[in-house]
Amino acid sequence: MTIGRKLFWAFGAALAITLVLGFAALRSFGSLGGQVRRLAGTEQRKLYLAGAINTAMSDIIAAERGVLLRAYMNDYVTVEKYKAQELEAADRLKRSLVEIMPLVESDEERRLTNRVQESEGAIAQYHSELASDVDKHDLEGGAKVYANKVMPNAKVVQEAAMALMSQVNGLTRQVGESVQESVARSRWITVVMIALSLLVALVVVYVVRQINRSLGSAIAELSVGAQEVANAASQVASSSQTLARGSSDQAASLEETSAACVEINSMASKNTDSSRMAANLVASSQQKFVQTNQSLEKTVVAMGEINAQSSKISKIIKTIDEIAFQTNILALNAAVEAARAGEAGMGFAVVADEVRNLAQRCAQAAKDTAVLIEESITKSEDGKAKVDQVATAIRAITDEAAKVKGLVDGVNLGSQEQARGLEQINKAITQMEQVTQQTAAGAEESASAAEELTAQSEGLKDIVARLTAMVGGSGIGMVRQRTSAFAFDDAIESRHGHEAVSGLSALHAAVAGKPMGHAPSPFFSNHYKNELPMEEEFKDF
Amino acid sequence: MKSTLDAPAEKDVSAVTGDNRAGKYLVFHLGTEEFGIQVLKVREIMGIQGITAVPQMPGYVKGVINLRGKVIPVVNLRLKFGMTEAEHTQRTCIIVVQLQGDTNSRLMGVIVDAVAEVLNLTASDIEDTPDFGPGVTTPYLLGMAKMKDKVKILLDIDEAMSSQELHGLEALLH
Repeated sequence: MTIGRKLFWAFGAALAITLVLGFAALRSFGSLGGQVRRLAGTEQRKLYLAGAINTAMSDIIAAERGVLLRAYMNDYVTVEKYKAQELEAADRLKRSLVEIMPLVESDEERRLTNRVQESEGAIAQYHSELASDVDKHDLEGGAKVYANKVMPNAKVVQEAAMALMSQVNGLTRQVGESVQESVARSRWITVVMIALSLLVALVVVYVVRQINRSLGSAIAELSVGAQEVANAASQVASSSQTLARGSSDQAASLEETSAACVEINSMASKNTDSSRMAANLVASSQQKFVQTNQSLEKTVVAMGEINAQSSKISKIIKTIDEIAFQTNILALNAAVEAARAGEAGMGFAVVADEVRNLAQRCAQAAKDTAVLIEESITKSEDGKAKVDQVATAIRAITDEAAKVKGLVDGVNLGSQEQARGLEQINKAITQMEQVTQQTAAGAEESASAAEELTAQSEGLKDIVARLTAMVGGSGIGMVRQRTSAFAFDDAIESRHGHEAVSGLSALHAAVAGKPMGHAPSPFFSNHYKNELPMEEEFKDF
Repeated sequence: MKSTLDAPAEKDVSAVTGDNRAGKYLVFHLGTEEFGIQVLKVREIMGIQGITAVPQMPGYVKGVINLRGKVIPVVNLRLKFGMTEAEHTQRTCIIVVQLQGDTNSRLMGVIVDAVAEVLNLTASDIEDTPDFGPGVTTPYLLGMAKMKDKVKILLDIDEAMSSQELHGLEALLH
């Protein structure tokens, strides 16, 4: 059940009770008033008039009696006076009767009144008789009239008056009883209603207490929430600041990256040119290598021919050596023969010795030549091996040159790819710059949102204070304390906000490509100006 | 032919000098050493040629050759002297020597590593064979020739070749 409904029910019940009580009171007041009016107006007047009638009747009787007595005493002066008194009393009775006539209500009363009226008429007649008798000095007759006619009528009148009085009295008592009864009823109703009112009041108190309690807890939660909102606003402010700073750094590094990209691009284009030139050089060197290879092959062939001829020469030299050996043996044989010949062979021995010398020289020369030829063969073999090595190396170099050409081509391709990739990187950097600008804008927005949030949390705190005041003074002190704490937070937050704003301005400058200065941009100064009055406003709360 | 060869040789030796060791020597190489033989003992020098191997001969007898119609035995001097056999080279020669036996003279081929020269040695060049100690007899050495700080061993080829095996071969041949 909602608070409103509870309250409505409680107050509706109270209102219903009040209405019932009012109606009952009004009703009982009406009846009481009517009865009181009747009592005070009619009955009391009737009682009085009946009394007056009775008195007047007694006066009349007394006057009659005085008339008679004075007549008996021949004091006619006084008789006249009594007559006048009797007339006056009769008149009074008549007037009272006239007055009472419209007041009578019941038949009994009317009958009594009629009887009084009749008796009064008779009494007036009898009075005239008595007066005439007295005037005639017929005292006896007058006494008779008095005794036989006036007195019974007077008695009747008096009885009627008395009856009327008793009647009225009874009526009054009846009215009083009924009044008492209605008063008792009203009291009972009132007591019941008061009890009901107390019940309703208890219910209302309970409901109000409940509402108060729930409101109090809600206010406490609200207060905590406001605190949290304020904290969150502070955090948002600081994170906005951090974001702004990060965006600024990012913008700076993006700037640097962009510059580096431009450098790398120029380097890459240089690289491409160099690699193209290198490819050309490698191609020409490949041709040269092919030529070199051909000449090397020719050289190898020539070396082989040299080798073949050397072996031929070596064979010839072997032949020469053999001849020299044979000659040597022949010479030795000749020497042996000469020695055998003794003195006769002396000259021959000399010739043989010379021949042997020649043969030895020839053999030596052949040996030297053979050595030389051997050396030359060895060297040419060596040279051939070396040329072969060179050829192999050249072939390897040719292969490697081909590989180098492939690699250089790859480098060339790679450089082109690099250039394309750099283009893409440039695009990406541009996008990143946009994103950074968006981030900066977002940081700006979140900073302003944080300000807004701070303001909202201030408003919330104010509402909490008001609610606390509304609910009861118990939480006010706490709230005051809190608001003072919030004021401190506000100081921090506003400082944060200013820092964030300055950071944002720097960022804005960086993103816009302007040199970073301490002067904030117009937008932020406006923002800043707009911000301050709002805070003042909140403090007024 | 034997007689014609024998006479001048003996005459020649005695004619040259009083010392029967002085005279002309044919110097040849065997291993690293140089040996000398009296020239008059040499009949002929020839290059190495085809040797016909003869069965049941001692290792140093390589076989026989045909020297202008005359079959003569050939001995490898290296093996004869207890040296290791060397492969024949271009320089390897066969010296045909005339050995003076008890009854007759005979020809024999001696394989040497190389033939160097014919040297004329005087008596002062020749030294006696030194004493190698008791129990060592060197009847096959004529002496030692001192030439330019080197020593050439002079062989008595008759003594060097006089052994039972050779006699046996000789008996087989004649």
